[in-house]
Amino acid sequence: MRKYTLGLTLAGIAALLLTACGGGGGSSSSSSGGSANTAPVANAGSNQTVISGVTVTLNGSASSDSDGAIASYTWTQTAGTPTVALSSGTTSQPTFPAPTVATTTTLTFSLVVTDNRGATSPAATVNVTVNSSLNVAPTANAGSNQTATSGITVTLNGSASNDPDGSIASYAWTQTAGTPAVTLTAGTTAQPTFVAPTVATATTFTFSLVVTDNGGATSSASAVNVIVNPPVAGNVNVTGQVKFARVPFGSSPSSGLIYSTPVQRPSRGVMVEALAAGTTTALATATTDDAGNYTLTVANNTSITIRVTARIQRTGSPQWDVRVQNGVAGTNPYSYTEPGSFNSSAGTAHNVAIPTGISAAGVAIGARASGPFAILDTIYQGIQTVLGAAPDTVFPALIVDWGSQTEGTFFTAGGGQHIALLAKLGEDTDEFDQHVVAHEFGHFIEHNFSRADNIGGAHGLGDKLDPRVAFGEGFGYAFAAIVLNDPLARDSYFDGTNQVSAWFNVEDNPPSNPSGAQNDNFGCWCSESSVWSILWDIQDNVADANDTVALGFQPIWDVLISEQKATPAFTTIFSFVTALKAQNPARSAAIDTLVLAQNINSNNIDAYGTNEAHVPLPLLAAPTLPIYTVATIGGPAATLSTSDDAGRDNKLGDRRYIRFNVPTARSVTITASSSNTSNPDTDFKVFRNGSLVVAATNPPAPNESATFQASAGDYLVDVYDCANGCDTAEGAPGDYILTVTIN
Amino acid sequence: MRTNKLDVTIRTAAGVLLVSILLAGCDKRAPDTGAPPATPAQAAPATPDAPPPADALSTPDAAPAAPVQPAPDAPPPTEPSVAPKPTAAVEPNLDSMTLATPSAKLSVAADLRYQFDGVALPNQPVILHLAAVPRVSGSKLSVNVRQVDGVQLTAGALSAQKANGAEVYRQQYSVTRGTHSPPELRVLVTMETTAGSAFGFFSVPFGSGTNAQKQDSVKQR
Repeated sequence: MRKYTLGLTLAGIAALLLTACGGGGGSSSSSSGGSANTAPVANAGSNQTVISGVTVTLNGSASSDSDGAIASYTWTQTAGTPTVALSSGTTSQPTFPAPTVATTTTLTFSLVVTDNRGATSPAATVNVTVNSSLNVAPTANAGSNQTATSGITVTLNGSASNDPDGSIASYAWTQTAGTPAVTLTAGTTAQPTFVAPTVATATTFTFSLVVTDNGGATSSASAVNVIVNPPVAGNVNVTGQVKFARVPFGSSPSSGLIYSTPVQRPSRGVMVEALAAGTTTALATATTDDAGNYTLTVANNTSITIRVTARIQRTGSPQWDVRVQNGVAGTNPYSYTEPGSFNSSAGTAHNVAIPTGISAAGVAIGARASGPFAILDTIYQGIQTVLGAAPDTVFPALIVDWGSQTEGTFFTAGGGQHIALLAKLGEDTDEFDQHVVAHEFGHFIEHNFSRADNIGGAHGLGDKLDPRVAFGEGFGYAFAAIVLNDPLARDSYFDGTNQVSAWFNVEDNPPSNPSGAQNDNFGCWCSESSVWSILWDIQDNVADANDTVALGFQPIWDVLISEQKATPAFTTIFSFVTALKAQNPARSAAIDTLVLAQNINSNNIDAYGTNEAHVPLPLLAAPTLPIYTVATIGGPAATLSTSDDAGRDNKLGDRRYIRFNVPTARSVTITASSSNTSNPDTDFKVFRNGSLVVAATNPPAPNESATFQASAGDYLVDVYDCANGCDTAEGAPGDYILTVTIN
Repeated sequence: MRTNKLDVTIRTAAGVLLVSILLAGCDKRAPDTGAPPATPAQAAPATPDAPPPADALSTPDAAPAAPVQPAPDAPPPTEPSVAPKPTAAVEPNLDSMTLATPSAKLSVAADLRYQFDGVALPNQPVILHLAAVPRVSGSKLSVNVRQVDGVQLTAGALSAQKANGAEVYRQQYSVTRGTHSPPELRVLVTMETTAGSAFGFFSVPFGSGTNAQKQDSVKQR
C-alpha cells in the first residue's frame, strides 16, 4: 500500500543489507559455520557431429555447484580450424554456424564455470565434428498412383520423401497434366488434398513434387498420377461454393462493425453434406477447398438439401480438428442448413451463402448463422500461418465455445482445450473480431507447441504485468497481427448507442523515455505492448526508427518450439530474446537495437534477465528487481518485496521469483512467510523447466512449507502473498516483505 | 493500493456538503469528472438484444432460429414504480468497496469498485457508489452503467478528459430494481491511452459482497 511504502521499504532494505552482509562476504560467513567454498563442476555437454551450415548449440547447462549456483560460463575454442564465432562466450548454451570445411574437422571447445562466490571449475571440453561432405540433396517421393471418382477428396502423399543428412523443410506440389486445373488445399504440406473434378471420361491428372531440405537443397521432381473416373452410373456430382457473411469494421480505428455491409468470404475447409430432403440423413459428405468449393456425389434425380457444419477437420499430415459449438448446451458443432431443397440432377452449381442473421441496425433477426464460420475461418488462417513454418504440424483438437451464455473470451487447456468467445450482441460479441479470435488461437499455439508460463488473469491496456503474462499476452496479439497481416488490432463493442471499437496498433512502439507523467505506457519487459511491438517488428519487413529486423515468422516459430519450450527460466521476453539472438547471431545487433528501445537490456541479456536494470513507474526497485533472486540450499533466507502498486493478481510486483540449484538429488524443504499481519496468506509454487514440482497453496496461513524430492538441476520458486498475488484478494493488498528459506 | 491523500482529506469536508445533495452527481474529492447533475432515468437505448446465437444452431439438425419476439398480447415487462428518492450518501472508504469483476480478455487498465448503501430490494431505491481507479494514465475515462429493463437509474455517465493513474474517480447513482430485474448491473468503463483505447464491462451484482476464494486463474485472456 502506497502510504506504507517508506517504512516497509526501509525495513526491506535493511533486511536485504543484512542478508547481503551475512551471505555474500566470503567463505567464513557461510551458514554451515565457515566451510570453504567448493569449486563448481563444468559440464560442456556431449560431443556432436554435424554438417556445414547448420547451427550448433553447445550445452553447458548440466554444470553444477554443490554449495551454490553457477554465476557465469566461459567458453573458448581450443582446437580446430577455422575459429568460429560463438553467439556468446558467456552463456550456458552458445551457438555457432558450422563452418564449411574441406575435410572432416573436429572443433574443440573448453568450458570453465564460476560459481556465485567466485570459485572457478576445472575446464571441461567438448568436440564438435564438422562433416566435410556437402549438403546432400533430399529425395522427393510423390507417393503411389491413385484412382478416384469425381467428387471424391483425393489426398496426395509425399511423406516418404527423405533427406539423408537433414530433414525436409518444405514441399512444393504442382499440377503438370489434366484438365481442369484443381485447387490443392495445404499445397505446401506433405499431404495436400483436392476434390476430384467432374469429368466426362477417365482423365489422368499428374502432380509433381519437389522438396527442399533444411540446408536449402532441392530435390529432383517426383511425379504421381491420379486417374479420375466419371461418377458411377446413376450418380451425379453436385458442386458449388460455400460462402459466409463477414461483418467488416468501419474505416477509422475506433469505428465498430458495419452490419449493413457484410462481405461474402469463402468458407474454407468446412464440412458439407447432402441431406435427403426433409430428413437429417446424410447422403454424401465433402470438405470445401481453399476457395470454398465442394463436390458431393449423390444419386441422380434425388431431392437434397445442403448442410454446412462449423467444423474444419483434416487427418494425416498436417492434421487439425476445430469446431465451434454452443458453450452451454451443445456437444455438436453449429451447422447451417439451407432452406428448401433441389434436384441433384439440376446440373448447375449450387452455391451456399450463410447469412449473419443480424440486421443493418445490429439487431438479431434470426439465427446468427455466419458467426461460427467467421470464427473458423480466422482459425483456419492461423493454421496456415503455422504450416508456413512447420508444414506437417499436427494440431490437437480444439473446441470453440461461442454462445449466449459464454462468460468471457479466453483460452483454457483445462478439461480439453477450449477457446471461449463472447456472443453478447448488445454488449460485446467477438465472432467478427479477427484479432481477438486469432489472439486466443495464439494462446492455443503457444500452449501446445511452445510453453506458456503465463498465469492468466485480467489485464488492461498499458498495465505493468508479471513478465510471464506480458509475454503470453503480447505474443497472442503479435501472432494475430502476423496471421492477419494487419497490425491494427480492434475489438468491437456496443457502447449503448453505437458500434465502436477499442484498438491499438502493434506497429506502434511504446516510447522508451519514462520521463514525464507517472504510469504512462512506456516500454518495459513487463509490458505486453512492448512484447507485441518487438515480435511484430521481428517479423515485418517495414523498417522504422529502431527496427531494421525483418526475419519473418519462421525464426519466431523456431525459438518457440526449441529454447523457449525448454528454458529453465520462466517464459518471458528475456528467455525469448536470448534464444532469438543465439539462433540469429548475424542479426544480434539489430535485435539489440529493437529491444533496447523498449527499456529492455538486450546487450547483456540472458533468460533470467539477470542484468536488467529498468524499474517501471509507478513501482519501486525493491518489488521489481532483481527479476530472479538467487538463493542457495541451506543459505540465508531470501527476502523479497512485493507490492500492489501496479495492481493486483498478475501485475508486476505481485509475485516474485527465486531460482536455486540442486547439485545432487535430495530432499528439499521450502518455507515462506510474509510481513503482512492483517490477514497473511503466503503461497508459493516450485517449477523446474516449466513443470510444476510442488504447490504450497494451503488455506490462509501466514507461513507455508513444502518438502519434496528434488533431482539435480535448477529450480524456480514463484512466491506471493495472496493479498497481492491471488485471483481473489485475501486481506489488504499492499507492500510486504516475503521471506523464503530453502533447506 | 493507491490511497490518495487528497481523496482522504477532502472526503471529510465533502461529506457535510453531500448530506444536502440528494443524488450525488459530482464528488468533490475526485478530480473533475464532468459528471452531470442527477437526472431522471434515461430512456433505454435501442439495445440490439439478440436472440441467443447458439440455441437455434446447437445441433447439426437445427433450423435457423426465428427472432425471439414477445407475443402480441404479452404483458409489458415489469417496471419499478416511481422511485422515492433516497437519502444522501457519504462516499464510502475506497478500501471498503467491493472490487467489480471485469470482463475477460484485454480490458481497460482500471479497477472499478462499488458499494450499495443498503440491500437493493425491489421497488426501493438504493444508492450505488462507484469508484474507478485507473492503473495507468490516460484520457477520456468514462464509466457508464448500462440501462437495462427493470432497473431505474439516476445520474449519467461519469467522464473525465484526463485520467490520472494516481486518482480516484467517483460517481453515485440511485438504483431502483424492478420485480424482475436482472441480478446484476453491467458497467462499461472505457479509457484512451498513448497505446490506443480500451474498454471493459464490469459486473456489479445486486447481492453485493462475496466470500473471497483463493483461486488462481487458468484462463489466458
